[in-house]
Amino acid sequence: MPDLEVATRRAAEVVVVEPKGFINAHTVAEFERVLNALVEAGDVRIVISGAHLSYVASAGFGAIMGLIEEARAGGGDIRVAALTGTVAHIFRVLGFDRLCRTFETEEEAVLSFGGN
Amino acid sequence: MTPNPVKANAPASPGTRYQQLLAEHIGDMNPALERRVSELLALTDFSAEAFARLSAAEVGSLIVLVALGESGARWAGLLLPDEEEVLRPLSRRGGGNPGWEELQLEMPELLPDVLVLRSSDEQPEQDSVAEPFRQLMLDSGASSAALLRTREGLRGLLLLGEPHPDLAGSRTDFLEALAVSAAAALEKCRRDEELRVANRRLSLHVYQLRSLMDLTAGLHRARDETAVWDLLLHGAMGHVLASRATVVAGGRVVAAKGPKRPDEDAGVFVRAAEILGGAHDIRPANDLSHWATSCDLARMEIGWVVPFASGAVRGTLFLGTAGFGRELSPADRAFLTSLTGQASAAVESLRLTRASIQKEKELEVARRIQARFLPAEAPEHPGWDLWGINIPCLSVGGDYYDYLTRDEAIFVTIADVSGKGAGPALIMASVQASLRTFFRHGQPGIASAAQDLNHHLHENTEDSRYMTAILTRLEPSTGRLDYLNAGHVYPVVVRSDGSVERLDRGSTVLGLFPEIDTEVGACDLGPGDLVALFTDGLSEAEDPAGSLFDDARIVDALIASRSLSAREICGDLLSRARAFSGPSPLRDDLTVVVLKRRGRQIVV
Repeated sequence: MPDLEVATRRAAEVVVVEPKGFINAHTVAEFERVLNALVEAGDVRIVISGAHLSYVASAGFGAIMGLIEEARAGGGDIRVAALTGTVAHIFRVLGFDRLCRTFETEEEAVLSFGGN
Repeated sequence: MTPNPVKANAPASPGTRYQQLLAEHIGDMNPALERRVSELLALTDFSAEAFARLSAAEVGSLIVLVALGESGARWAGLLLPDEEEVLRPLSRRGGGNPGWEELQLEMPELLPDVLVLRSSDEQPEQDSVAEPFRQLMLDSGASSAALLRTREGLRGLLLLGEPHPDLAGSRTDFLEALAVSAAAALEKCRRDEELRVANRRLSLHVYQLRSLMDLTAGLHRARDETAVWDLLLHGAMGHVLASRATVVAGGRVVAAKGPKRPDEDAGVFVRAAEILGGAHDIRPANDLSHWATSCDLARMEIGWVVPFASGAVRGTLFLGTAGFGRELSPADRAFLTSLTGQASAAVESLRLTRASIQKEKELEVARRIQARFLPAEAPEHPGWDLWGINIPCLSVGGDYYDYLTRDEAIFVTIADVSGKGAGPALIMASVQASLRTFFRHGQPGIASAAQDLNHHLHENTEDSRYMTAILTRLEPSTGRLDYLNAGHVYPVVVRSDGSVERLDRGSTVLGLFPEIDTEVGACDLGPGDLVALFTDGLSEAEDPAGSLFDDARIVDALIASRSLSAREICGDLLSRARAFSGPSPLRDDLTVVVLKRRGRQIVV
């Protein structure tokens, strides 16, 4: 099994990105490629669902940080949902939840963008 | 704050059962005793619950509720010290006293001796220690204040409003008892919090260490420089939670992440990197000793500048303001220093690898050139048996041999161009071309051929380049061999009777001097006689102890194998040289050419 698989799907006007596995130095380029393609295509309302995310090393946060302002400037945002276990802990410990809005569930995160 | 939900039908805890037992007797006792039992129940209830709760906010809320319930005051409120040791409101219940949220009191160094202060107490003339507390009671309209203190210090201040008029009587005793329990519970919360902070810090460090290991492995696995720089940016931005970063190396921007600014100017980064020169400390972008550039960097939203170097790779990482605009801790600086160091080392190693691959490709080209210019097979002649082999070593040398036939004569040449690599291989090619032209179209004398070659090499190659060679002209019908030895290892003649001669006449090496003197030697080869020409790849083959496969060993081998065919003699020499050098690889090309006159049965 590869270290990381990144699935994307649409929920209304929002794109849900679902990384499965590990985001680390080995896989961060793939993760960034997916986010980058969305932002470049104008799909700036992004929810990263952490339901199947086993681990995020700091390179992964670098990839999100590198695109979050661009998404916001385009009227969107990168939001995070459904974090579990270690990953949720890392988000809190780093204070990443203060820079990036996080939600308990994917539905809440999608709804937080509003209907328009 | 959300209090724990109460489950009405949950089984009673041992504490609750004990309270139930006591409570059953309330009503059987005299009123004073009843009140004490009720207070006691409140205290045991509070203690059991307070020590089970985790946060100071939850415990604080409970303190206020218990105080309000047992004291009969109109309101109760609790202040807790914050990180700067200022008492600030935490929780309040009961009828209003506006301005509660604005109350604050800097923690006094000295505390009054008493646990409870009352507005109705008779006040000593100058009680400066209690004064700040009394002022706070006045400001809040409190009629009593309980100091929640432990041996470590003040952990909270409980304020109580006027008691309801119909609830007369002093509750000071109870308040003191509650103050002691409450202070202990708050002390425990404080310790818990300290432990949580320490744990958080520890798990942050562990996480950062793991990230650094992850990044280091990734950097050294990266296939190209772009991948290294990208990973450096991701790692640095992820660590300090910055939303932009740029890296300059070799005087240009090699990678950048984060949103492009409309006025983005790569020149700003390149100039800033130049200004930093050989600096190697991480510094804020506004501390660049060049005001205009510092301003430019601030405009680009750059907060930090991290210079780095590894060997010949120098660069500068420009990092956006860290998340929440925080300062970089010593641990952050160590992380960034280590990360940039690893990235530049990875780039350096990629460059070295690329250089060595380039060199390997060059050698491969040289090998192909060399192979193309060596003769495919020896000329056939009924009276003569000729054979040559060439074993190129890993780093291509400049060995060369060739046979040419003209006017019933066979010209056999063996040569070794100095140096290794593509240069000697190309010279070899030009030597072959000029020799062929010379022997086919010019005066076919080996002395003039040597002069011609010397001139050609001296004119057309760099000063230090030279060639050693044996030029020979064999008359197959008579067995006469004319030769010219230009600084080459001596060819060995082995007669059919086993006697040995060496071919030592000739000139100096070719190509080093503008003019050379030449002397042509000659020998006659009878039936069964042979001459072996070889290069120093054979005579300088080394065994693991450093001894050479020298002239004596070669002569012994040739004498032993002289009854064999020219091809077998070559093979025999080669296998002996290989057996001699053992596991050591050949250090130079190895070439052997054997000319053997057929005819006589050899007596061994």
